[in-house]
Amino acid sequence: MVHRLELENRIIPYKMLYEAISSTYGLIEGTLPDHGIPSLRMGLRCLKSVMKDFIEKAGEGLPIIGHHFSFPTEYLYCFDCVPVCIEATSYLLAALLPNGSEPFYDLITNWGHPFHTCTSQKGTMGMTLDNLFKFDAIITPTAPCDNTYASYPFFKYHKKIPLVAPDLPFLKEEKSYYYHGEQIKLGLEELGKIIGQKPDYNKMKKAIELENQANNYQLDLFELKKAIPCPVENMFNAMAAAAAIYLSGRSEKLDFFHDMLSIAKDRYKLGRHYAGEEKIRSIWPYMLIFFDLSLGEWLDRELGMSILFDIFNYNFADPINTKSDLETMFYGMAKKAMEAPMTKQSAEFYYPFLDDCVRLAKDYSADCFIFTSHIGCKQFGSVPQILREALRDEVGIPMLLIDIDVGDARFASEKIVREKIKLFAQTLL
Amino acid sequence: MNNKTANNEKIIPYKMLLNALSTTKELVERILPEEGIPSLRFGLKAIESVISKYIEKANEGLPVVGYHFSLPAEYLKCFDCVPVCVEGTSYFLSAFLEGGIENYYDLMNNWGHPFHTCSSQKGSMGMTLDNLFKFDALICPTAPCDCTIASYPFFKYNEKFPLVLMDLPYLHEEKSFQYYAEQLELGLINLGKVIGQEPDFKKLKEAIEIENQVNKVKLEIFDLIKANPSPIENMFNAVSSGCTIFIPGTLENLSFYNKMLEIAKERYKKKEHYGGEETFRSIWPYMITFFSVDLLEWLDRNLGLSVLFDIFNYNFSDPINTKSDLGAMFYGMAKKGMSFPMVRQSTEFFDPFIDYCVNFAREFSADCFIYTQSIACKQFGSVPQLLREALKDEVGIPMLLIEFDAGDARMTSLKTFKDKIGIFVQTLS
Repeated sequence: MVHRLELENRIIPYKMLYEAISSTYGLIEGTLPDHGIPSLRMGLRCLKSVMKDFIEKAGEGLPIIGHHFSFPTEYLYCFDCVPVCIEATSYLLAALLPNGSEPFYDLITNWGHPFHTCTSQKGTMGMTLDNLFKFDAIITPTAPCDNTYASYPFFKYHKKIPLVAPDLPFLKEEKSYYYHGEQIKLGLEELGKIIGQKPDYNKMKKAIELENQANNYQLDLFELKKAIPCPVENMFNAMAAAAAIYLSGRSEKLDFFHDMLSIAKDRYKLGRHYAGEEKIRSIWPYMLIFFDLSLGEWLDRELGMSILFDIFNYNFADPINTKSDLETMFYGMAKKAMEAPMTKQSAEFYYPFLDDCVRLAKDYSADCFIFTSHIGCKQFGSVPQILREALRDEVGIPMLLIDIDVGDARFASEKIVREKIKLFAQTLL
Repeated sequence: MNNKTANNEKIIPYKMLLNALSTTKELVERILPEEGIPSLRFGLKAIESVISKYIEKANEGLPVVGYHFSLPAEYLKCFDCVPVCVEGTSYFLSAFLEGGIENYYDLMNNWGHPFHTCSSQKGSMGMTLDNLFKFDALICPTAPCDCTIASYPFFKYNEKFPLVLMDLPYLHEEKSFQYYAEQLELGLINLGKVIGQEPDFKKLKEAIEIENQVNKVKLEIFDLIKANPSPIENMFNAVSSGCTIFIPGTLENLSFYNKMLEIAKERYKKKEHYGGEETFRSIWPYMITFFSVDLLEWLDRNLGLSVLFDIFNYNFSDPINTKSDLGAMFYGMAKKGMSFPMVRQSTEFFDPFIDYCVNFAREFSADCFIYTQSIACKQFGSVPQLLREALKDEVGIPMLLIEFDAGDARMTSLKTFKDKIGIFVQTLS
């Protein structure tokens, strides 16, 4: 009989995460005043609960399924399994551990993986190389970037982990949604064969219905952010990004967004901004800086700069129709997946991205944009500069471009990022 | 006259290229002994002839159509146009101009394009920003990499050039070929609308038939390279890449390969190796150093190291059926387009790539592989190290991995290359 601890140890980084989340949560509860950073407090509480559950399930021997962040976690709830998001694990650990995931980036770089590829994959790859993860299978769409389909062969060929790759087309047309819907279904069936389970689409449907509800709350919150001052603190973006991955299809996600919505509504009614006066309203069309979670709070408190939203917080898909037949549901699932953060932006030749950004700048009364140009992301290429020009011409606002590795502080440090933003903010005031 | 001048200024980099090619050709003819580097001698002559015709055509006012190298250029023969390869221009100018085209990379970087994107696009983008190129239209598949689809928006949005995109699927299956065939046909029809011409598929057929013949000759040469010593000089790889990209579908292309085949046969019969004794046989599964093609000659003469082939010289597709209907022809064109260098390697999750590298190593009695890892190419990610392990385990040969930028000597210089390879071959002795 396999020992429970041995089974749990198939996901050691989740245990590390659990410890890190628990300590941070303990610190917050013990140190911060009652109203301090509610998104962090509530988010960590939910994450802690989910992590604990995942570890318990791993202990019970459920299969460990790795997935790319662009494959919505709730789709995996047609199985009794422990879903592990490859990219989110690297970055959540980068955010919560004292030295981030850097030792794991170095491990995989020394193995022979190029230094300039995406740290979101490299962290978990390093952990897997170090045998901290023991996946039963992995599923990833062929999107949104080269890093995705060029890093995952490591799992398949080097670690011999069965890998399922549903094809995700570049074009966003009716036929593409049908095609990707079919690919998701085939992918889940293949995955089921690997782990010895039949996909239970009723269970998946329930998870999707929870997501549909959470989506409503998210949209309400998004709408409230149009208000001046913004009634949501910066930290919310990071926690919502984590919630989108780890809490998907679970009641904890509903709780988190429901509670955040209540707080935002209260602040809205009182015309109140979190942590003092709101001086500058910024939109981050790409990623936040994951290795420095405190940056959001610093911007709120020191510069009065709101981060209205980042890429993980302005992409919303239509609710998935679960009331009709299975094909309709898979069609909706495909549409959602193809409109997921980054997947949506990395296709259609960026016209909708530029268009969205200009529109969002106007709708949300943004004073500026801050674009974090991540070294791993070639798929944005000439787009940041084109966006900068579009924002200047169409809205008359500037955009700061920061070259960075969002998961590794050694590329552009916390200090440099803060100095750049501080100088930029001076030009706005 | 004014119009002619204006037309004349639409493809200034091609004029620069022509000058560079003519000067190099003259130097080669005057300085080298008669049998010195025949591939360079014949290749330059062929490319010079075609490029000078293109310049004449541009002067006559024919539309200038930019294309991505992964679109076989003979497909554009259905139009009276001047085809300009965006990537080929950057790299051929970087090979033949004194100091390469670093100033254009810098121009583009300063404009706001990320430093770590592909120099093959950045060169021509910089030239376009500097008004040296004035395209009437551009055409590009959504492959093989992020740099492609993320750099071309510059042409569309910043330079306002009409851009035709053809969706190229990730999977290589029957339905994918059919889908891409449809995309190719639609793409050419759309391009025709932009430049005010109807595609002439008879002319296209003629060009494809020439390429079918070229393909046959190339395959014969490829087979001869199995011989020990290899009867082809290293420089052939660089020149052959140029011919494949710049002059397909022309009689000059056919003539070049016919001449090279004759020479190879002669050498094969006499068991002669170019440039002295063949000490080692290397395969370069990725790119050669375009910023310094003389490295190839140095390897032949100083180390006796044959570069049997690089990525542009081991990808062959079936001849395209031109005898049946148009549907069959486009199907064959799609298959060829999807088997093109880099497109073929950047899809199908790399299984075939690793597999045929191992086969090549055996069939061509390679002593080693040299993998040049471009900073821009995320689409290979973990593959080089996996390939290294496969070659070690399956064939027992080593692989040298060199980080570089294929078109910019400032990342890894020629000297560093020579030093690294010099030390590496000592381990083979």
